[in-house]
This record gives sequence, structure tokens and C-alpha cells, in this order.
Amino acid sequence: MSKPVEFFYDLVNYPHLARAAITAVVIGLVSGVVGSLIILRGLSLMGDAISHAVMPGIAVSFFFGANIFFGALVSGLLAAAGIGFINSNSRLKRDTSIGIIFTAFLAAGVILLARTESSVSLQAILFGDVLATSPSQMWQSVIITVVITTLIVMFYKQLQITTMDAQLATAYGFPTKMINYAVLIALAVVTVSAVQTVGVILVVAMLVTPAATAFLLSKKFSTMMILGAVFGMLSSIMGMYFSYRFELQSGPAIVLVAFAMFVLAFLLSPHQGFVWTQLHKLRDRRSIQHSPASQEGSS
Amino acid sequence: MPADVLTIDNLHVSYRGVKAVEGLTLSIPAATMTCIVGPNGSGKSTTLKAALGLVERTAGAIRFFDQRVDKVRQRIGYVPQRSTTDWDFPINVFDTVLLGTYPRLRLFQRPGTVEREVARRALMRVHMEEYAHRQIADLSGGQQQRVFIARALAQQADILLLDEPLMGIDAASELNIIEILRELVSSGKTVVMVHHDLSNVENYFDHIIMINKRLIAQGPVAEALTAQNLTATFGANLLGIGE
Repeated sequence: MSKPVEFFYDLVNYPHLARAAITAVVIGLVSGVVGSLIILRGLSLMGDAISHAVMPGIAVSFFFGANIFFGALVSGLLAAAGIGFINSNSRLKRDTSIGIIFTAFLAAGVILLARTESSVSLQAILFGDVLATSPSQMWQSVIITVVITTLIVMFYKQLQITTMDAQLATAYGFPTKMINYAVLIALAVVTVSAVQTVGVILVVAMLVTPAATAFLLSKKFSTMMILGAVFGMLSSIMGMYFSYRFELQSGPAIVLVAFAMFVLAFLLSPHQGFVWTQLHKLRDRRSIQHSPASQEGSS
Repeated sequence: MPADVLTIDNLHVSYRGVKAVEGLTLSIPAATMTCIVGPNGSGKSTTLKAALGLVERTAGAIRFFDQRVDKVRQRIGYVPQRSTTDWDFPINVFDTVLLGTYPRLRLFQRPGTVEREVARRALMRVHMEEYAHRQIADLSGGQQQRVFIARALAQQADILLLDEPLMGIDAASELNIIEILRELVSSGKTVVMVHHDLSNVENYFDHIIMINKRLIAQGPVAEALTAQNLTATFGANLLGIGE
């Protein structure tokens, strides 16, 4: 029996593996869609900040026996609000405010986590442990994916125009500020759910890499989001397979598959690919050298 | 005397404590081609943005068609400076023009056949129909500006506010844009343009507003564009160079 087929049989026969695969795939889907919004809005670093800032929330949730998801979400949103506050009330650039806030949250998280009798290790939070996904966590991911994707489809028009030109959208009467906040909340929700599959350190890769791959191959915002979703899902399932086949950690395996797809698109994209643009340059240079016009010095 | 379509009364705007506009009062009569001129930092763009509510104002009253701006946004077209747009955004020329129809659509409504026809006609008026499927990132400055004009046409607004649309574009695009705007004015619409090139004011516009953080002069170009007003707006240097 071939390895991929064996993987498929095991998915059917081992519920924990199936749960892990379903969770990873739906998170891959929603990350690709939300990631497209994020990279076009220049919020990649914000995603990174939120993912690191969830740690104190996780620790505090353990301490009070509360739902980890909500603790992490509150913590991530607090960090986003803090970044926004420093940003609009000082002359510091945004990447600086991001650096200040997320490292403070991360540091607090590490200390708090060491003080609580946590059932999840720091290792699992940092690098993810998708194989430990519980049925309720899986359903949570599925619901989040369905809700966020539906909202994005419904409000596509509003998201498109506010992302492309916020000033124009405001002049048209679109509630630009409210939409910005909604996007940040969606980013925080997806980030917190993705921590489960790939961990704090690698979340930003799930958000940014498949969407960036899609960007290189798309001429339309809607196409970019669909391709982002497809690449996110493919990264998840192929990453899971490689992790199963070669006994690798699943989070890093997923991220490396996403990266491999990006490299292929970067080199071979029909419009923006590195290989084609270099070839075109070379051809243009040759044709200029061989054309008689250039030797005469006239056009 | 036609009614004023836009009135600004005692507008004050500050950015981080620096006063950009100090007590500006002006009015723009209907069906005129009006330019707003003034030196760098005189608050020309800021005035347009404050009128549209894009920047916060410290004080002042803004009335479009004698109503609050939020009541009449559909009727107000805006052409921002080209630099505010993300030109790498994945969208083609036609879909960019189609954005102009968005203010008229209901919450979950998508542009349909009617809107696509409106966009197609707007694109033809700026002679860009052959670029319909081109990505906006691949356009020249003049072409980008014509796409913006087409988008504003697709909005079918009654007043058009343009922020330095002629800056850094080719002569053919400039003539095309001015011709279209003059047509709009003859059909009863109002055009307000932030403008920097004094040499063609008399050819392009019939109404002028000269500001330097506050109103210096306003009125028909023939009456308001005087040496005295120019000196008051730009300082003595400008005329010194001209002599």
C-alpha cells in the first residue's frame, strides 16, 4: 500500500488524526482568506504581534480555569488596542509600537505560564500541537472558519474598497473605521485559532505565506482570497502528511510546505515570476544590442 | 446668481498642534469650474478633506446643497491625490471604475448590468476602454488619473472635488480631463479642483478661490485674479519673479 493511501486509511481509522487534519485544513482555509486582507492592508506584523500577545491570556485562563480561546483572544485584542493607542498618540512608527507591545506581552506570558499549573507545555503553545486537538476545539475552528468566511463574502464590496483606498471609501460614506476594527478582530480570532495548529511562533506564516503566494498569481482581490484559501488548505494537509510520513512536528511541516509553494510561485508566476522577468530582461537586452537602430544611435 | 452648492464657514483644522486652516470661509456657486489655489501648506487639500469629513475639524460648518455632508455623500464625487491609493492592489481598470457605482448600491448589493454599463461609458469618455482589463499597477500617471476621473464620472455625482489631478501627468491627459470637466459644468454639475499651476487658471476655470490658511479672495477669475490678491496669497516673491 502506498504511503498517501495509508495516510488516508489512518485518517479514517484514527479519530485524533482526523480531528487534527480537519482542524488544520479549516484553519488553513480561513488563514488564507483573512491573510489576503492582512497583507494588502500592511498588517502582517500586527498578526505576528497578536499571536505572541496571546500568551498572558492563555496563562490567566489556566489560572482561573476559564476557556483558553477567550483568554487568548482578549489578550491579543488588548495588545492590538495598545499598539493602536501608542501609534495614534506618539510619533513612533507602527513597527516600533508593535515591537514594544508584543514583547512586553510575550515576556509577561512566559512568566505567568511558569507560575501556573498549566496542562499545556510552553513548547505546545510556541510550536503548536495539532494532534492534541479535542473535538470541541475542532468544532470551534470549523465554526470560526464558517462565520468569518461568510462575513467576508457578504461584505466583500466594503472590504475591497476600504482596503484599496480608505480615503475614497470614507468619502463615499463607508464606515471605514468600523471595518478596520472588524478586520483586526477577525485577525485576532483567526490568529488565536491558528495557535492550536502551528503555534505562536509560526502563526504569522499561516496568515502571510499562502496569501502572498496567492498575491503573486492573482489579478483580482476575490481570486487572491480563493487561492489563498486553497494554498492554506493544501499546506495544511500536505504538511500533515509529511509530518506523518517522516515523523516531523506538524506545525513546522505545514509552514515549510507553505513556503515551498511560495518559492515556486515567486520563481514561476506568469506575470510577476522571477524567472520570466529575468528572461524578458535578457531578451530585451539582446534585441536592443542586435537592432541596427541602436547602433546608429537613433530610434 | 446661482445657489451655492458648497459653503464652508469659519473652518479651523489642526494637525498635531500645527494650524493648517485658520477660520476659512468660502462658498462655491453651482455649475462653475472652480479652482482653489494657494502656496504649499496653505491648506488647499486639507480644506477638501475637512469638507468631506476625512480629517477632523476643530471648528467650522460645512454644508453641501444646504445639508450635512453625510446626508448627501452620493451626490459628492471625490478624486483623491494619486498617492493615497494602493496601486499594487490586485484590480483591473474596469473594476476600479466600477467602484464609482458603489455609493449607490445597497448594503449587500453587487454591481450588476446597469452599473457595468455606467462604468463602461465612463471609461470610454476618458478614452481608456482598450485598457479595461489592464492591471492598475501597469498604468502611467496620466492613465491612472484618467481612470480616477472615469470612476468619478461613474458615480454620477452633482459636485466633483478633485485634489491636484493635473499634477505630474502628460499634456494629452490634462487636456482630456479638462475637456470632460468642462462638459460636466455645461451640463449643470459643479467642479472644484485644488490646483497649483497659475499659468492656465484663466484658460481652464471660471471661478477662483485664493487661500492661505484663510480666504484671501473668491469670485469669477476675471475679477479675483488680480496682482493685489496674488501678492496677498503667495507673498511678494511670486510677482517679483514674474517681472
